[in-house]
Amino acid sequence: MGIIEGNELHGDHTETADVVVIGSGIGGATAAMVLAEAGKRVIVLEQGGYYTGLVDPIDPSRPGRGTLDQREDDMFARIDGERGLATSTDGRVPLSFGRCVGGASVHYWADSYRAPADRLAQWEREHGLEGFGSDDLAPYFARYEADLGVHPAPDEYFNGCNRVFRRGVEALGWQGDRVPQARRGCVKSGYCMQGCAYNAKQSMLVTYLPRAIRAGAMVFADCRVEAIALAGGRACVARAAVLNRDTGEPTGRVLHVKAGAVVLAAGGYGSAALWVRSGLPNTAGMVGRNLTCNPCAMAFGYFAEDIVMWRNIPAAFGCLHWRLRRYEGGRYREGGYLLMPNQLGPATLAALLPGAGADHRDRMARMANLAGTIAWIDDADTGRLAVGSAGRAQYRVPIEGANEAVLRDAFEKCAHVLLAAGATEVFLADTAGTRIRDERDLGRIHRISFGPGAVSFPAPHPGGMLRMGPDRRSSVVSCSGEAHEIPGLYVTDPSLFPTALSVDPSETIAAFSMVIADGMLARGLG
Amino acid sequence: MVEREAEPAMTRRTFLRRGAATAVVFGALRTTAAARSDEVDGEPGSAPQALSRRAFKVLAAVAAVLVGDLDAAAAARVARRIDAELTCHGDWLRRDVTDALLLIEYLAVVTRGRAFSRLAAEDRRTRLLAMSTSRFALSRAAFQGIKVLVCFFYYTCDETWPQIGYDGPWVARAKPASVA
Ligand SMILES: Cc1cc2nc3c(=O)[nH]c(=O)nc-3n(C[C@H](O)[C@H](O)[C@H](O)COP(=O)(O)OP(=O)(O)OC[C@H]3O[C@@H](n4cnc5c(N)ncnc54)[C@H](O)[C@@H]3O)c2cc1C
Repeated sequence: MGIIEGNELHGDHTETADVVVIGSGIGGATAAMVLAEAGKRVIVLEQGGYYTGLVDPIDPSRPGRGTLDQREDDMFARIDGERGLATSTDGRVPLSFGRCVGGASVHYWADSYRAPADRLAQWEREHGLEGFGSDDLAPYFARYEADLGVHPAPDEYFNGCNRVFRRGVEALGWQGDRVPQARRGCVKSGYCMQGCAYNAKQSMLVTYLPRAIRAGAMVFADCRVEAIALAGGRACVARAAVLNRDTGEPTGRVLHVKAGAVVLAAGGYGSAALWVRSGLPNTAGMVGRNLTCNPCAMAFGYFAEDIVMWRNIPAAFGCLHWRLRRYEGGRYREGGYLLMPNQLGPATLAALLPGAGADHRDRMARMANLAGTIAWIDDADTGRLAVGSAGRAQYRVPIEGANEAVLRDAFEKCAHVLLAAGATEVFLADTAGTRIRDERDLGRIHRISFGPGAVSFPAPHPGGMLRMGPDRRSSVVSCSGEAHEIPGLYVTDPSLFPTALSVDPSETIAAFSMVIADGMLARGLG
Repeated sequence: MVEREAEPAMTRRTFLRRGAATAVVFGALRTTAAARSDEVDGEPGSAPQALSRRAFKVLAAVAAVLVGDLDAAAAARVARRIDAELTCHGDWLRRDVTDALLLIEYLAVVTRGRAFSRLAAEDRRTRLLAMSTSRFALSRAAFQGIKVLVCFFYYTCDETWPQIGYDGPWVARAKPASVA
């Protein structure tokens, strides 16, 4: 119990609650848990389906459904937004986001970083955030880390890819560290991105959602909120279409939830789109602007030793050396990204590897010796949302200009690590498969085409389109998380981050969500 | 006031960025070749669900050379999986994929004098490689969009795993119906 699925809803329904939460990812699940454990009646609406592994996450004495079956085709279809095929407007940026109970945490890598103190200080200084400094968030980070068992990756988590990555980073004298991991009893199968079948990776599916449900929350799966409605200017109703899970199409049945407050946590791509579709006020015109999403650069290298990239965890060792952009004489010089080992299943890898025919087949045949590096950039420029007349959301992500310079440098460093680690052949994940034979070749990266069809820049960390701040002319939600113009509507996902975070966002999303939910409780939800 | 469009002038997401001139050339080529055979190699009789038979045929021809030399039946199987996937998406993706396939098919008429699906395997491969690094964004994007689909769906077939040393999932496959 506690999870009601679309096929269990036979007619139109109306439910009432103290709080309705839209989205069951980290932003939504965390708020739902805090509010439910404080005794509030909470309803979570999630458009995606409910999938479980070998053991039921809510009642671990029961077997699971086995629908987290580790196959790339099945799992992209079940747990990823647009079945893994969403892209930015010009097709250059694949948009990666969750669409299932537990949201993107079901496919995330479980890297768990606290928001860097410099970034929180910048948000306070330049964007006026109050109550989200390092000291304010420290207890929330500590709570999340304890709840999810976050710990530095031990040696046993290092697969071949992590070993060579570490070797390369250390050879170059760059700062690298074990990546804090949210895992318990990891069996090292390597299927983090397909959803952990063992409930070992600490996603929302196995942590905060079961806790919220045990505290009385109800989660409706397959229910896509079509509109947030206001009464007397206050957010109070979410109207959801009940979806057929197999087709993704509306069944025609509708679920209304009337609540004292609405928490919007439909994710960094989804929340602003729902705002626009609902026709909610946007006087300052800030909704849908300021999109950041950490577009990625990738390189690959073949090694004489066995790598077996697809087993064990994705990132045990990470390089934060280049996290911040460096300038010289006011001009960008280098840096502005997190550098990590990469992990891709064979089919996803095949889609990214360059070449065609025998050449591509040969590359795939040597897959066991292939290592990858990935760098997600701290967006230097922002994108924006457009919602078409049919309600379809499109996202423009700028690759030119400031982001381009950072991406080129990120490609260079991705390749450099592999060279330094002793790869016998290094190439970029561009369509031409640009070869980097030695350090002298690194300069070639600055001449490759970034045009459509030449390179893809997957973007896994969306945020920013419902920015937080005290000034209603330059932000959408206040520092309490409540919308400036809509009493009763709170945002608890990274849509409210004023800029990109410069590290993986999950832990910070949870901390913001906890602070906002605590504030709602302190003010009697209003 | 309520603003529905955050940026109304933005174009729709697409594999292809079509200019008016491209559309005209493309349309003419499509019509010229319309009389040609529509048959699908490999698995006769089973009509595609999302793609037209013509687009499906091009897709199978691309698949046959893109991941190595596939026989007609294997290439048709990959094409069929992609076709099935397209039924789960909005019309926009089906249209984009169709446009990309028809561009591959008819651009070969311009450059090689024959439609892509009528070229010999080696010529098809050369043609695709030329598209992959073309200075025209449209060609590159069409190639890349189709390649992603073909490579992904080919390597999700269990039979392909031994050749790449992949030992496969550790748990049993769930029923395809997602509500289990
Ligand atoms: C491959 C990958 C690996 C990652 N690895 C890491 C990592 O190691 N560490 C890290 O910190 N971060 C990682 N991330 C990012 C991280 O997973 C996300 O930033 C985070 O989980 C987002 O949480 P969220 O609550 O904002 O949104 P989501 O998790 O996206 O949740 C939003 C939910 O809302 C639902 N929704 C949307 N619209 C509606 C609607 N209209 N009605 C009902 N429901 C709706 C969606 O279906 C979704 O389930 C990774 C991301 C990817 C793609």
